[in-house]
Amino acid sequence: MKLYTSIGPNPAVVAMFLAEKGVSVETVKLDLRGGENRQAAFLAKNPSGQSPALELDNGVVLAEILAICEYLEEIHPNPPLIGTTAEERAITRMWTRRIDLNMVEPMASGFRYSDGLAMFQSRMRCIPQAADDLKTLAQERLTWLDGLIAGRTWIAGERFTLADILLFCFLRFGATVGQPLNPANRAIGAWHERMTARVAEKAPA
Amino acid sequence: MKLYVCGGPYPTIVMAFLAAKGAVIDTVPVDLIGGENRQPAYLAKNPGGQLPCLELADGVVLAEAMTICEYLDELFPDPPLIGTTAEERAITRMWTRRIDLNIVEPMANGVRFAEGFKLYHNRMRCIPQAADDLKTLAQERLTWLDGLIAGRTWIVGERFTLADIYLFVFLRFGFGVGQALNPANKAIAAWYARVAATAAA
Repeated sequence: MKLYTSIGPNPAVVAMFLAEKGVSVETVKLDLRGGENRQAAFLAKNPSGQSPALELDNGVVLAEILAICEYLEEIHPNPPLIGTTAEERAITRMWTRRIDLNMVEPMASGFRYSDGLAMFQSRMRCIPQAADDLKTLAQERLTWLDGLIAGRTWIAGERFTLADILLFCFLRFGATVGQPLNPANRAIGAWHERMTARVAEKAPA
Repeated sequence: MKLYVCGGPYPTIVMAFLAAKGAVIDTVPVDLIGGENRQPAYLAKNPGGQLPCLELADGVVLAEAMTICEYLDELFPDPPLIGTTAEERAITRMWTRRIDLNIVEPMANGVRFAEGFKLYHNRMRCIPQAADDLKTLAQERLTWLDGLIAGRTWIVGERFTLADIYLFVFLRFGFGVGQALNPANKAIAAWYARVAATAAA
């Protein structure tokens, strides 16, 4: 099994998931800035041209971080980071998808269409006139999330899950590209401190 | 177990998934046009304010169409619509997310920010200046998908899965709101006709 990886928040999600599992896999670094992920050799593995991708021993290549994490959870079930019952798994997936569509996508697209435009405009259709609204949308949805997680230890309740990893990796990325967390979001701020302490212990960058 | 539904593609996905399973569950209609899903009674169940949601017998409420389908696949495993091995499930999830982020989200937002603007502009942040590009983006990614599924029976290969149901329901929705399939995408057109002949349609 080989993980094709690179800089960026998406590979960081899979790396943190593996670190939490205490599992290491062979990795191959892609030169994302140089566009290696858009060359024929990698496109033959992942036709989306996105990083990361997980190549299995039988040659099958899995792309999309949430699909990769689901697969890793099945082959390395402990500690569980998605859930041990159908209901637990569903609750984690619900939160993961809410974070994915409401926060991660507008935050990442907002970046690609403005600060990242020089790098991305020749790689994908960019919509620069949407960038400001996308960034605002991500912040508004974070404020919505703040009200929902008040009083909880982790996003899904008392279980630490993939939802925490996904949000943390993208907030960390956002903080470096002009999309910092609004300090009025105190529940997320407190959660972020718990995450930072946990990452320092279990998954140092 | 109770499924809260309304018109629109997301509830239709779950209903189509259930139909393909041959499973029937109780449904409760919610008045989307009248905004019942943005009232406190519904928000207490699903703070996303979106439909559908699935209320379990223990009171837990599951939202997000993909999540609900994953749960129903565990509850009603036959016929499998996600997969029977970790690898099969991962492949289905990969395609589902590709369709989700590349095609469904730009297509749906393209509608919300244009034809659906009147209904949505006071329910969510709309970005009307992005609508045309979002629709074009969805079409470009459909053309990309067309090249990838040529020669396959279904999206992931020879298994009929959630990815087929998901894309089919949204393309059918798109046809109704001015986002027709580019006829040059012949593999998708042939695939669409195959899905239309299944119980899920």
